[in-house]
Amino acid sequence: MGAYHEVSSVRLLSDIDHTGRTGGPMNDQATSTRAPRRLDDAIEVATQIAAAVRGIDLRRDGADSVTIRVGPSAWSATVVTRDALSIGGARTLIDRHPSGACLIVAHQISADAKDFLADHNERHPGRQWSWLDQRGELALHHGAAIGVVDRAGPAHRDPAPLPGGWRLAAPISGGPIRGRAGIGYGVALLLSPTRAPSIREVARRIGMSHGAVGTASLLLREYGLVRSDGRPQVPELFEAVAKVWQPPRVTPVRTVPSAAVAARLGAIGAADDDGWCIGGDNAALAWGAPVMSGGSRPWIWVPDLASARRAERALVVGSWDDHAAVIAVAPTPLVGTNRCPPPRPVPPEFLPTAHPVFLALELAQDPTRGREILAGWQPVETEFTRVW
Amino acid sequence: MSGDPVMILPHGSEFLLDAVRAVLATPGMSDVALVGGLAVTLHVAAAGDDHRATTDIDLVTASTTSPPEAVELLAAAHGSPPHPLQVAGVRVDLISTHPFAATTLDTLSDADQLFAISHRWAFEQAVPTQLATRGSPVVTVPVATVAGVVAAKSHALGYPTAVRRATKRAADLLDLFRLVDLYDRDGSLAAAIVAGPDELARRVATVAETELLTNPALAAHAMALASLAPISTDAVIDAVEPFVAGLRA
Repeated sequence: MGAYHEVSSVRLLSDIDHTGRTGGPMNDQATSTRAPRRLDDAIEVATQIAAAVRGIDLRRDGADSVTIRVGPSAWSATVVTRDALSIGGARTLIDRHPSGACLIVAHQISADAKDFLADHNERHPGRQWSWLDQRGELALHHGAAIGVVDRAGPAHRDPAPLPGGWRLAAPISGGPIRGRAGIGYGVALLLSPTRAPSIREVARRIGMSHGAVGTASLLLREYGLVRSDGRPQVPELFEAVAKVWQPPRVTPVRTVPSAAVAARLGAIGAADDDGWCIGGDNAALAWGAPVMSGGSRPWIWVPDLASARRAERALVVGSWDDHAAVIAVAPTPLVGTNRCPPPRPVPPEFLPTAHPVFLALELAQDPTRGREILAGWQPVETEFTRVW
Repeated sequence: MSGDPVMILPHGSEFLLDAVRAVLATPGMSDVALVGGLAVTLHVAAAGDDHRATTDIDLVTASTTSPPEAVELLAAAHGSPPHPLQVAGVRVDLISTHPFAATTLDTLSDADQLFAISHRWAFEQAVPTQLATRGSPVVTVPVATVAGVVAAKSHALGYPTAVRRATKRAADLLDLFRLVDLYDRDGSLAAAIVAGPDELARRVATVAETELLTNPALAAHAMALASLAPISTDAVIDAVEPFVAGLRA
């Protein structure tokens, strides 16, 4: 899983200085309560990509920094995360980070921003900017050392096909929901369709800026998916979220977690804490979905890439032909913070299930039986509103 | 019977067993056998794999020589309209079958011939099976064999209505493929169908070849949307080519 593939070019220049550097500005996402996790994920992704390319190495060396090697040259860079970076954003970043090397990890970086950063690198050899545009480019710059990796597709896309109509998350440039803020805001509305949460509340819950969530909400309103009173237009909003409901990572593993292993990995906690939860057909059945599922291999949502990696190490990565469970990274942190004790036990019993809205989004990925099941599913629990 | 095979349904699906039990307990009800998606799921699960089905119950039965037919009997007994028929809150689709003779079949279209032959054969070959969930009483009901289910599914796949083709093609393709993939690795599934009624093997082979081998990439892509495990084009070819060859041997 997670192999960085379709590398089309790697350029290494070895006549470089060997000074390197350490330290640098602090994490740029300091206002976000989920910033450390986002930073963890960014470093995780960048590390995976570099590991698949000969001649390049990238390792974490601090809370917000990595050591980058391109050929014989090595330097330390502060990692800065962004959802998207425009030329204006690039200018701001450079102003905020007046010294040292930085690595920007973003879901998308505009061509203008890249040109601006490259131009800046040429003019300021002591202030070097590298970037990972998760749509397809890792560019590492330090003095005369340049490592560029081009490829197609999302950074951590699995070359193997996925089951159940699933596709891995990829940046989206069109439609009413275009990123994590849009998914988070849309999901927050679906979870609370009669009392719309405030933008500030959603921003806090998904660890993103007020501005990003505000922009996402405007887009949903433009498409008519949020009504004038702030409540969601259903089932249209559900369908819009279902279209982009894609996990960043899905891994078959060879063992089902025991309670002890799950506890050690930080999977178990209060239902509104971050943690693991059970998805899949058996969970949907427990909540009254008219689904009959043969087999009992649990589908387990984990909150982030770092949790997934820990789980994969503990449970041993398997293949789709030989696996006992599936570990999937949730498309939004709201999956892990809205876990529910099911009306009936679902193995592994020590974990709660995902909220029925998320179970419905899973079924919606299957255009045949999943949709048929969804059409016949009227949740029996009165505290949940059917939004599909 | 204690010697009958046992199939375990997931916890929470007791309502399905209740519905099956209600059908079987209906006074005057003729013999039935379980076919369709639920039977596919039971067979796939018995082989250790995951599969998804709706909670409809598809049954085949023998047509009675005098009214009422089974569907009317069930409808009256359970206070449901005949279409859609609901028993204990579960939708039940019931197909009446007739003993067939070559002379009567000759008057039917290819589609109707496969329908008549496959469903009757699935009914006749069904094996009493104990269905149970953890901690609930078992119910014994004849379940169509894998060969019987594949034969019946071949009709659904090869000759669908326009609506069925638009909404259920991926699921029908997947049902057939999963059973072939799991149960024909030693050629025994094809052999069982070859041992069935005349022409059944040839007809099933034609459907499998047309729907799965003519464009295996398209079939794999369609099935992947409904599958709980990834499906590659190579896997389709590797499983279905020898199956078709076995049917034609």
